[in-house]
Amino acid sequence: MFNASHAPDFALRRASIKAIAGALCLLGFGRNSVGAAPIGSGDARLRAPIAALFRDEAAACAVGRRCLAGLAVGEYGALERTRVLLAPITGGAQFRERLARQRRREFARGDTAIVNGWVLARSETDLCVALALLPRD
Amino acid sequence: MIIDFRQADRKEIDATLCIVGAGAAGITLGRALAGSGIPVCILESGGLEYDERIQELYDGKDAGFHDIYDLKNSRLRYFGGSTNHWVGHCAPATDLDFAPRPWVPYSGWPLTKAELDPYYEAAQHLLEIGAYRYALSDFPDRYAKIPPFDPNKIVTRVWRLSPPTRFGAKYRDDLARADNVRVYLHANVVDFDTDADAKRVTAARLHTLDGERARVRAKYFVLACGGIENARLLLLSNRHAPRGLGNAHDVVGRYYIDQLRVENAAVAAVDNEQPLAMLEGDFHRDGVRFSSLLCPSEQAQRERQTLNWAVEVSRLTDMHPWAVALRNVRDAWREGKWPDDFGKQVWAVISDLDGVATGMYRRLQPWPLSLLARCEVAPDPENRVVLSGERDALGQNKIERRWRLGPREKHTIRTATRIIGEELGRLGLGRVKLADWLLADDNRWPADVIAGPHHSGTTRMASDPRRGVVDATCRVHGVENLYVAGSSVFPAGGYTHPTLTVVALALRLADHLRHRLEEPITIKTPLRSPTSSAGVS
Repeated sequence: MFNASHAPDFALRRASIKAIAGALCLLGFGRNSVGAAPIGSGDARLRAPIAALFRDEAAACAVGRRCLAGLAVGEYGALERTRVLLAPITGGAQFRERLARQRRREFARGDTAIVNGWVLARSETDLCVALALLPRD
Repeated sequence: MIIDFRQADRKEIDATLCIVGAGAAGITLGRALAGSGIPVCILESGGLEYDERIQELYDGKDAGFHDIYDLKNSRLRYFGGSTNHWVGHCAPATDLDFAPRPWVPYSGWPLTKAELDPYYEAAQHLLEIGAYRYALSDFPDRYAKIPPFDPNKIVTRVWRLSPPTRFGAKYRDDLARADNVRVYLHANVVDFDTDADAKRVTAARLHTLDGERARVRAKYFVLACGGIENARLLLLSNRHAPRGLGNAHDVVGRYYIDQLRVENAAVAAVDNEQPLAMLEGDFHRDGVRFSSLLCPSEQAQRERQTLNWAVEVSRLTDMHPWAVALRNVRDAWREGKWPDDFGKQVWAVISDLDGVATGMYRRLQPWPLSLLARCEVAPDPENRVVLSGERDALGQNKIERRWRLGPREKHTIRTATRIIGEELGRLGLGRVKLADWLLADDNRWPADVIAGPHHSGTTRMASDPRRGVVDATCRVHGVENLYVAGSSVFPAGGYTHPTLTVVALALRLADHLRHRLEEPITIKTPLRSPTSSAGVS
C-alpha cells in the first residue's frame, strides 16, 4: 500500500508523503544515541529503541503522527515486521548494525518501497510507521 | 574534386560508385575510397553552407509523440550533414544492443559488436576522440574512488566527446584532392531508376531547385541521406516497385527508433556527495573531453526486462524548486538546532512536503543531485515514416512521422532510477526520488522529454527480408547493387548516440564495396573479415 503507483486517491498519497518524512528522519538521527534497554514483549518497550534513533523525539513523534494520518492501522504490517527486526537486540551497537545490515540487504535485493517517489528500504518504512503506532510508556 | 552541379555542363554522369548524401556516412565512405582508383561520385543536395531553400526540403509532418525538434530542423541538408550541428557524444553500442533480447521484440542485429569493433576503433580517429577505451577504469586518477556499485546491477563507462568534428569542414579537402572522387553540390536526388523488375538500380535522378535535371549512372549506389531521407528516397523510387524500392515486405519506413533524454528523471538526496560528485561533469584528457555514465549490467537488463539505459549525474541549479526548498530547511537549521515543533514550523515555511522530507536528512549536502536518464526506444513496426500527400519544392512527397512511446520506455526509465536508488541506499550514499510522472502506470510523458534527435531504424538491418530492408552487408534485400549507410540501418539503437556507429558501419561498408568491386557484379560476395583497410589515413 505504500507504493504510490498503487495509491490513486490523494489521501493515501498524502499519507505516504508523510510516511517518507518519518522514514528519512530515521536516517539522520541517532548517530550518537542508541537504545540500551533489552527488548521485551510489550509494545511500549519496543518503542524505546526506535525512539532512540531520533535526536529529537518530540519532532520525530510529530512526524510519526503525521505519517499515520489517513492510514488504516490494520492495513499495515509494520509493527509486526519491526518486532521481528528488533527482537534479538540487547545492545546499542548491535541494534544500529542490525538495522544497517537489514537496509543494505533490502536495497541489494531490491526489496524496496516507492513512497511518493522515494526509493526506500522496506525496513525504513516499517520503522517509521511502527514508531507512530507504538504507545508511550 | 568538388563541383557545383548547377554549373556543370554534363547532365549525364557516370561513376562506378554513386554515394547519395554527404553527411557523416557519405563523407566517411567517400574518404575511405579516396585514392582507391574506384571512380566515386558523391551527390549532395545542399551546398557548402546552410541554405533555407534547401533546408525546406526536409520539412515534414509529425504525428504521435511530441518532439521539440521538428523534422525540418533536427537535421541539416548541406555538405557535412547533421555533423554541422551535432554535440559530439560518442560511445559504441554495447554487446547486448547487438544481440537478440527475448524481452525486447524485434531486437537483434545480424552481426555482433565484435565484428564491428575494428571499425569502431578506426572511426575513433575520424571523430577525433582518441583511443577506443570507454571504461572508467581507464582513468584511474579521475575515477579511483567511485562508489563500488554492484556490477550485477550497474556498470560504468564514459562518453568521449568529439570536438565535435564537422565532417564537411574537416574532410572537404581530402575529398577535393582525391583524383577518383567527385563531389557534386546542389544535386538533389529525387529517386532511383531501376530495371523493369526493380532488382537493379540503373541511375539516380537529379533535380535542382532551378529546374535542371540529370542522371547519374553507376555500378553501385549507396544511399547515405540520414535516418529519415533514406527511407523517403526508397519509397519515392516506385516506378517499377509500386510500394517503393526494397519494400516488397512493407518494411521500409517502419521500426522508426530514436533515443530519449529525460532531465530530472529523479533527484538524489545524498548524505556524502563526494563519491557521486566524481561522476558529475566533464573532464579533459589528451585533448579529448569525457563524461561518465551509469549503465545497467546485462543481468539487470535481463532480470528487469528493460531496454538499454544510462544515467548521468548532474547538480541541480540554485533556481530549481527542490534546491530552494532545501536551502530554506538548511537555513532553518543554521539558526537553531531544530524547530521546536517540526511539523508546524517547517510545513508552515515550505509547502512542498518532499522538500521537508529531504530536508530532514540531516547529512544532506546543500543541493541534491539530478539524475538524467537516457533510454533506448523499442523497435516497433507501427512507429514509422510514410510519404504524406504534401509536396516539397521539387515536387516530392514530404514525410510524415508517426510514432509513440510505449510502456517499455517508461518501465525502463522507472527501473533505471529505481536501480540507482537501490544502489545509493545499499552503499549508504543517500536516497533517490523518482519524478512524479514516472509513478503513474499510464503512458503520459512530460513535455520536457527530449528525443535524440537520432532518427534511426527506417531501413533496418535483418537477415530476413520480411524483418528488415538491408542485409548484414547493408545491401538492400532484393536489389543487387543498392546499399544503405547511416543510422537508418540500425535495428536497435541502444542509448548511445549514433554517430560513432554510423561512421564505423560506413568504414565497414567501404571495405565490403572495395572487395566487391574487384569481382564480377553477378557474384554475391560475402562480407570479408575486417582488414587494415578500415584504417583511416
